[in-house]
Amino acid sequence: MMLLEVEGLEKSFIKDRVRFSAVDGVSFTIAEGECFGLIGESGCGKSTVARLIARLLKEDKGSIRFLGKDLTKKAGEKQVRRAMQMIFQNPTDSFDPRYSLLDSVKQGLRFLEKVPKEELDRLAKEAIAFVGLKESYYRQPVHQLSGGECQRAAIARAILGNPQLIICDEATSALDVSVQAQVVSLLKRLQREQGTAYLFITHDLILAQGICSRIAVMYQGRLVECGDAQRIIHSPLHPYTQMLVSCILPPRVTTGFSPMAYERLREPAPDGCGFYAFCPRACADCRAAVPSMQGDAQQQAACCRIV
Amino acid sequence: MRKNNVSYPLSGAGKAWFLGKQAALRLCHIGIVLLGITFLSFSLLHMAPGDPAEKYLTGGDGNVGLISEEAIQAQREKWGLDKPFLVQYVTWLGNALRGDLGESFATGNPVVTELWDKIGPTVILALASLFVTLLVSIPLGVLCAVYKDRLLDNICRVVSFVGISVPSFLSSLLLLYFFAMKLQWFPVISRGGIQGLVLPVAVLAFQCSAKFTRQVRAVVLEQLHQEYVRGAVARGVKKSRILFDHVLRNAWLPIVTWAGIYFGVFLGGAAVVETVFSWQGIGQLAVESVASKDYQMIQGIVLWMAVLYLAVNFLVDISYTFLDPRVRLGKRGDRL
Repeated sequence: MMLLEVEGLEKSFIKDRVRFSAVDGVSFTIAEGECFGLIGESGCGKSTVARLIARLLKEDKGSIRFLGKDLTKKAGEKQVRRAMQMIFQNPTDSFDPRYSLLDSVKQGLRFLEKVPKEELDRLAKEAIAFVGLKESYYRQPVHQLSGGECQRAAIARAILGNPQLIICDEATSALDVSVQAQVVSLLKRLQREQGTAYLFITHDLILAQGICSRIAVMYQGRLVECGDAQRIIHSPLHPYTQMLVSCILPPRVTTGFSPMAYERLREPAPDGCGFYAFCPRACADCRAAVPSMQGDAQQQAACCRIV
Repeated sequence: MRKNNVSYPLSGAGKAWFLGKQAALRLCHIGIVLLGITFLSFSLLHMAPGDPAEKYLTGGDGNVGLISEEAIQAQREKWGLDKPFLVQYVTWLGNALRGDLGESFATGNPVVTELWDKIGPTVILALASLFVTLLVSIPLGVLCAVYKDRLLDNICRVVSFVGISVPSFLSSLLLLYFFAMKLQWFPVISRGGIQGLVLPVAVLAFQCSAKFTRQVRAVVLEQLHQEYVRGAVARGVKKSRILFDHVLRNAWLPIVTWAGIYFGVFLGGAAVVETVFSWQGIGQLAVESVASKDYQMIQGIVLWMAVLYLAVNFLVDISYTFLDPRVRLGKRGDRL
């Protein structure tokens, strides 16, 4: 059984009196203990998908099944809270500044169920130790910790209830590379030791390749490519993914680095493929209708006619 | 009430030391500000046209020319007005420090006695108005933020707009007309007592609540949009707990600051409302003193208002230490 099944998810917002679609027919699954990456440029709808799954937003259409329960129906929502946690991009802002580290971590469980005080204390201290924060930090206000330490604290709070899925919404984007590596290795250790699954949202392809077994590429609210992380990074099918991959800066910049141009080539097609205006290989069919996903989503599939 | 969960690295003795240090620093600031205010107001009154001694002896304009120059000079000497400005100021300051603010030019009574008689009614009016304002504004502001852009919020927006726009003399006169003259529920001239208090309190509280409700709404909304609130929602925390345990605790600081400012405004005397309802308070005294050019009294009222504002601000500052543990940390709170 799949841990999370997202089917035909749609969400639109109104901006300047114009309705625009932020998430348009997104479908994917995450197996138990799997790390699934959702990548794409800023504003493509990644975080909206995360917020829909975490029930911070209400979907217009579609279903989200988690542990077999439909989260879009109110009744199923509460039972699965403990099994799903979320880590936000800005670690400092995700904590109430009035609380100390220990109390903040305890909040991961305190509000969900009645746990004896001593037991809650023990669990929180275990979680803090697991993420590698010192005992001397217990009484420290969280806003006094560094960015990396704060994100570790956020992870400690998230793992308190032994969740089966952690949604990491750009959880490492605000951190510098060395701290990023520490947080990623911590997440990997958690996955290895406790079998936690992740929905890892990032715009960093290298990071996604390093931590995720499967990834999905999002563009203008739609999934354009989905499949094995190594395959997608090494042999992308969709022109947008190809362009994204070509933009990855190599560790040592040589004269060979030449990202594909991301410039508008023609007028956009409102009924057609979202990437039509920028695609160097677009044909007349791409203009007429949105292509459907072709291929096996577990291996490699893309929403493109020219694949 | 639930125990505060914040545990900061300050022991009981540490907190007391910190509070004492804060209080001493604030008191030093208050002393300097007070000195500045009294000097400025004394200078302004000194520069104002007209001779207080002549005004006192002539009792207005009717006796001009009937009082001899010698008598006026004698009165000036009696009040020390013939001395240089700085000597006058230092003398006044020395007397003020001993609790003597001089004599009213209009009545001849000591300014302190006159002020003392008017402080009681003003304090009663201020306390009652503040109480009603807080009672109305805080729950309404919180509800408007939680139910943003819903019916209640829209109604409150319109009522607040009216409250802010309508001047207090107009609302006072309207209330007097309907409730005192037409319905005769309340007296036209307030002579103390609960009945006489209702209409002035209603005017002051309505005007103040109109602003305060919007301010509470804004600060609660700001907190509701914080990332930590989103995180708490994602973790499945009940909305009421988020509101009481996180949002309101973080919103207290600005709310207390505004409440302090409004209390200062009320205590300073609501001149228009006190005059319309004949409420024998500081506001009415201020209006009368300005009309009769009673400089000694005006100086006394200015001093009273300055002390009052500074005292309320001092209390608000000290309350931060209890309301927000981060304030206790001060500059030491940057890093371990």
